Formats: sequence, structure tokens, C-alpha cells
Amino acid sequence: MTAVNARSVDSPTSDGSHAPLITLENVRWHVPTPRGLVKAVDGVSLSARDGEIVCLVGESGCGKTTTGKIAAGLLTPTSGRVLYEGRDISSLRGDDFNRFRRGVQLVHQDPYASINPMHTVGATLSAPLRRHGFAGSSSAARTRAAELLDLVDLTPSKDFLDKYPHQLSGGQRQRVAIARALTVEPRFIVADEPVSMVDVSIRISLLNTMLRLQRELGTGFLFITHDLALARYFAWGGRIGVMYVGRMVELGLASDLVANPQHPYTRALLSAIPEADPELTRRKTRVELRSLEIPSLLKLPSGCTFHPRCPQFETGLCEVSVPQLRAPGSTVAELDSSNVHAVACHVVARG
Amino acid sequence: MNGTVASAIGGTGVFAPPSRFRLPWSSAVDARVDGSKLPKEVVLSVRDLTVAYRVRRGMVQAVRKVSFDLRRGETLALIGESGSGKTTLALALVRLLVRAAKVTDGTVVYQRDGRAVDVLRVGSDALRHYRWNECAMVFQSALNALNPVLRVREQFIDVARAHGMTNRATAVARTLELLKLVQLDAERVAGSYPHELSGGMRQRVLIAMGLLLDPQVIILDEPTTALDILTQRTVIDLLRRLKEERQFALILVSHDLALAAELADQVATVYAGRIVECGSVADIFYRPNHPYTVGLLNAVPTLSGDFRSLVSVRGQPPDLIDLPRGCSFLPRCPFGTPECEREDPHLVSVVPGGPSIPGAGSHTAACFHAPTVAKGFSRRLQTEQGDEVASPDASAKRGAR
Repeated sequence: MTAVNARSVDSPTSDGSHAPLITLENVRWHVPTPRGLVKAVDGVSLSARDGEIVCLVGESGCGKTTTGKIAAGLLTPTSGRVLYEGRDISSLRGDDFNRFRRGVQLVHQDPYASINPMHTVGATLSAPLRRHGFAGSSSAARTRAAELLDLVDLTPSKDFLDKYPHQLSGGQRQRVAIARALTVEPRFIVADEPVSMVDVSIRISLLNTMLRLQRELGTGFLFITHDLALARYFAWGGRIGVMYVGRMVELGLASDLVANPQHPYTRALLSAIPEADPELTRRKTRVELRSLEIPSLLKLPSGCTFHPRCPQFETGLCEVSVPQLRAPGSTVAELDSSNVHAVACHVVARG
Repeated sequence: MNGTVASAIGGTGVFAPPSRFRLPWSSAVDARVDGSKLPKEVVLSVRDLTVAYRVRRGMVQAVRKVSFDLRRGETLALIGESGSGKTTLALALVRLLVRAAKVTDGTVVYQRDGRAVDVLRVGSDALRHYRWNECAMVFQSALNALNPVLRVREQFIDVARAHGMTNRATAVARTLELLKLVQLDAERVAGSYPHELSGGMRQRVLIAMGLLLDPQVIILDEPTTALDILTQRTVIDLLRRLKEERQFALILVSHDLALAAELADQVATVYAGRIVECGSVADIFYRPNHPYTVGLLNAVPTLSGDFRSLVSVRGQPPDLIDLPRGCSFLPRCPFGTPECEREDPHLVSVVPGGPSIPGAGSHTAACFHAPTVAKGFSRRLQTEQGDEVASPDASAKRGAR
């Protein structure tokens, strides 16, 4: 159909061995607070190959941003490991660690807060170029900065180099933030709700720019969003993971997951999302939850954390043990095998 | 849930406020307008409303010549990107504009029981009565709209007292009833401070507060923007049920097309301070006539259906101080011709001879090329059977069933 549609999961740059570029192994982020232990992320496993797009979807407080920060090496998980090119990042030192730092970049949610208002766009982009040795001189840095602006569709780039952030719109700022991430030629970008602060009418063009970067430069993305429709658009051909209070409850190919959701939580989410089509949205059948209360992270329910709200709850099963993320019908827990549609639900797993 | 909605409303009969709460309309006598020309079911009739903000650089033309009719029980969604003037328009309807803003032209006629007043010209007593008793506004940020140091109950009582409901016990009883109506644990929420409530709960508290004096018109500014999906769903379903049962008219200000698709009867696309297209929800979503509406529709991803490539509306919204010559959408428009630069197109009916004022039964667009735009638009949607049909046929089919 379209070029975007034809995107394959395998990027042209991958060496064919399918070794993941970045892997999260059972990572946890448990924070002690005066009121108790907060399990913000509780055993998430995920991997991404070179050039792959993975989306993390969930409601606020589900741990998707924390997971993103762990993947970018900004938070050290309280347990579990993060592997970059197969090596634990906590064991990397010196040049090896710098390679990881350059390889994985983060684009923050709020472009009004993430860019220094005192620096021009050119200065913002030149600093990492000089620091990481991608430009030997300030004029070389300026030339490269202009190229990067072209790359993120801020054209003509000469007009933007000497502008300050306050002279730019939200969408343009976010493009600068993406260009800044690209300065160090990363192989993987963690984008945390990059378009939530951007106006609807220009959201898509920002996503399209990022998709083009993925196609042309082979940059992989971990795209974090609460909007499943956006995730479906962005990750078409990649994968979507759905998180619920710190755990991954469903993981699968984007097209498959949205068309054929398995976990009761995913089904509830999909049935609840309003769509920009009056006939369609008013005709949708809703999945009714047993409770609207989102559990407190301080006092998570036993067993499956979704069981107090789940319409398919079964006594003696769901509140007893924690379901593992696995393909339906399979008995082995899937850490993360790329094309499997995995679900963490006792009822679904039983078939 | 505590009891059904019907019992919550009908239970004690407190819902219809006793007549002594009603300020006499006589204080509005100088602003009384000839309502005989207004159809009886029209509650709000806006004509040529124009609002400008004075800033150092000049005048920001935030709302330009906006006209529409709102009927009882009808929901009008104002859709547009940020900075399009939709919130300013809503604020002007309840005269809550900041001092730098001036209504430079137009009328806002409010009608109840056959009597009509021009809201923009009523005196302060009548205005105070109009706000909240007749037309309530629920503000965008549910956290900022509530006083953080007062319990929810006290804030309800404050509103009630300010609008003449002096008996505390009655006010409390009504507060609890309304909190039940919006599916909250009434006793607990009434005794809570705002920070003890989640975003969705606060939003529902505000909706309940809007209903406190049983207004005919409720204005909701981005009611679901900051909410999570499942909470958003609760609020949408709640609004739909409330408006069916209470029959108030709703003005929905949002950038979210999906919300309009869910709730609206009429949808108005607002661009650079003007309504550039207005029609029934089906007209706007399946038969758009303005390139900006088409642009918005093409920029929103859906969950169902095939994958389709999306494109944003190119370019930037115009500078409202220094508007482009002719049609203000021209710099971003793929259909532009020299004609568009010469003259700013008026809002006219897309059906020959149809009414040119936005409101029920009319479909209007401000574009010289409306027929071409309409012809070029085809949106596919899936029917229940899963076979794809072009949308107008699909809706016709459904209408026939």
C-alpha cells in the first residue's frame, strides 16, 4: 500500500542474527517511601532489535515512563538487567559505556521544559556534537546542526539555527529535541509521549518524521504513549506492549494486538477509546469492568493485579498467583520472543 | 453506584430549584430583546460575536463574527487547534473574558420560557443569575478549578449561597444528590479535599457542580483532556446519560475529534477565530466541505479499519493580529486559488437555499471551493459485517434500518 505500510520488522541494518540491540531482563523499580514500598515497575522484560519500533502503552502510573528511563540508562533498576548489544550496561565502563550512552537517546515529553531557553537552536545542537567528537570545529558543528534540522523537517534550516526556543512552536521545539537526540547518531531512541504536548493537527507530521528516520537511518524506537490509536499508527509493523500497574500484560505485533486483543485489560482499553468516527464510536460494544478504581501502587492486589477489576475474574485462580507473560497455549513464560503474541492472563492462557 | 440516576433526580424532588432561587428577570429589563422571532426551542442564539484582545502589538482577533443557534437538549462541539479562539468564544458566552479582551460586536441572546435577554447587555444582577443558574461553565483543568483548601461540600455550598440558595441543609442534600448522580461515593467525596480525589473524580465533581442550579446550558471546556482512557470513558458515558435525562444544551470545547464524534449533535470547526464549517456530526465527519475540516480528519489515527497513511495540516496557524488577506486558511490550503486571496469567504449553506446560520438542520462552510473539497473526500469505514463501504452509503443504510 504505502511505504510506511511495507515497513518490515527486520531492519535493513540488522546483521541477520536477530540478536537484540537492547534487552530489559525482568527489570524492577521498587522505591521505598515512608508509606511503603512502591512497585513502579515490577518485572518487565522486553527487547528490541536494531531498527525495531516498540510501543509501550498504558494509563498514567502504569510504569511506562519509568521503563523507558530504565531502557535509556537513566535509572538503574532495583533488580533485573539491561543489556545493550548483549552486555549488561551496569558492567560497562569508559568507552564502552559512552558507546551505550550515544547509542540510546531519550526524547522527553515536554519540549517546553527539555530545551534550554537561553541557548539558540544551533548552540543546543552543537554542544553534543562537539562533546562527543562528531564535529571538530564550531563551523563543522554548525554545518552538521543544519543538516540535522533538515533531517527533522525544520526547513530552511538556516532560519532556525539562530532562533531561541521561545520563538518556536511546540511542534518545532519537539523537532529540535529529536534533532538533538540525533546528534550522537543513536541506534535507538526512547521517545516518551513525544507528541502529547503538540497540537492534534501537527502530531501526525511529527510521527511521520520519526517514521522516516526509522526507515532512512534505521533508528529503533521505544515509543511511550497513552494513546493506542497513535501507537497503532506508529508501530504498524512493529510491536505494542500494554502495561498495567508496573507489569506488562500483553505484548504483540501492533496490527495483531489491536485487531485481536487477548488480555481483558487491553480489551477494556480498546473498547473504551473514543474514535473520530461517530457511527463507529457510538456502536462500539464496551467491556464493562467490575470496578473503576485503579489500585494504589502501595497496596497492589494479590495475584494478577487486574483481578479486582477484571470481568473474567475467576475465584481461586486469579487472586492466587501472578500470571506470566506467555503465548496462549504455551506453558513456558516468554521473556520476549519477537513475533509471539504474549498475554499475562490465567484465563486466556488456559484457552 | 448509589441508586439509579432516575431515583437520584426524582427521589426527593429537590432537583427543580424552588422559585425563590430565581432572581427576577426584571433586573434584566433593559437588555430584553424581541424573542418573538426566535424559535421556541432555541436557548442560545449568537450573532456576529467578535472578541479582540488588546496586546502591545495590536489587536488579537480571537473571535470573528461567530453566529450559531443552540437548541434545547442539543450538543454543539467546537473543534479546532489550540489558539483557534474556541475557549475565548466559550468565555464570551458567559462574559468571563479577561479585562484585556473586548467584545467589539455581536449579540448573545439567551431564551428561557419565551423570555429572551441579550447576555452581553444585562446588568450585574441578571448576569450573576445567568451564570450558573442558566448557563454553567465547567473549566478545563479540574485541579485548578477547585479551591484546594476547602472541602468539596463547602465549595458546593459557596456556589449555592452565592446564587440565593441560603438554606445550608437544602444545599448539602442537593450536593449529595448530585455527587451520587455523577457516580461518586457522595458522603466521602463531599468531605474530601480536592487533592484527595483523582483527576476523573475531580472532573465529575465539577460536572456535578455545574448541574447544581439546574442550568439550561452547560459549557464544557476540554472535559476529558487530562484523563486516562477508562476514566475518560466514564465521563463521556456520564455526560451522554445526563444530557439525555436532563435535556440541557451542551457546548463542548475540545481539540479532540473523537470526543465530538462521541457526544455531539452539531459540530463547528473553528479556525482563526471563525466558524469555518458547521453541520451535523455526520455531515462533518462523513461529508466535510471545508479543507480545514478535511485536514483535521486526515490527521487523526483510528483504531479500527485498515492502516492508512495520515498527513498533518501543513503549515502553522496564522497570526491573529496580522491575519492573511482573504481566506485565513489560504496559506495552508491545498485548494487555494487567486479568488481566495481577494475575499474572505462567508459561511454559506452547502445545500443550495439552505439556512446559512449554523444550527440544527443546516450544514454551512466558508469556502469558495466547498463542492470540490466535498467531492475529493472519501472516508471508508467498516460496517458491522466487516465489509467496507464508502461512508455516505453506510450511514444511509443504517438510517434505513
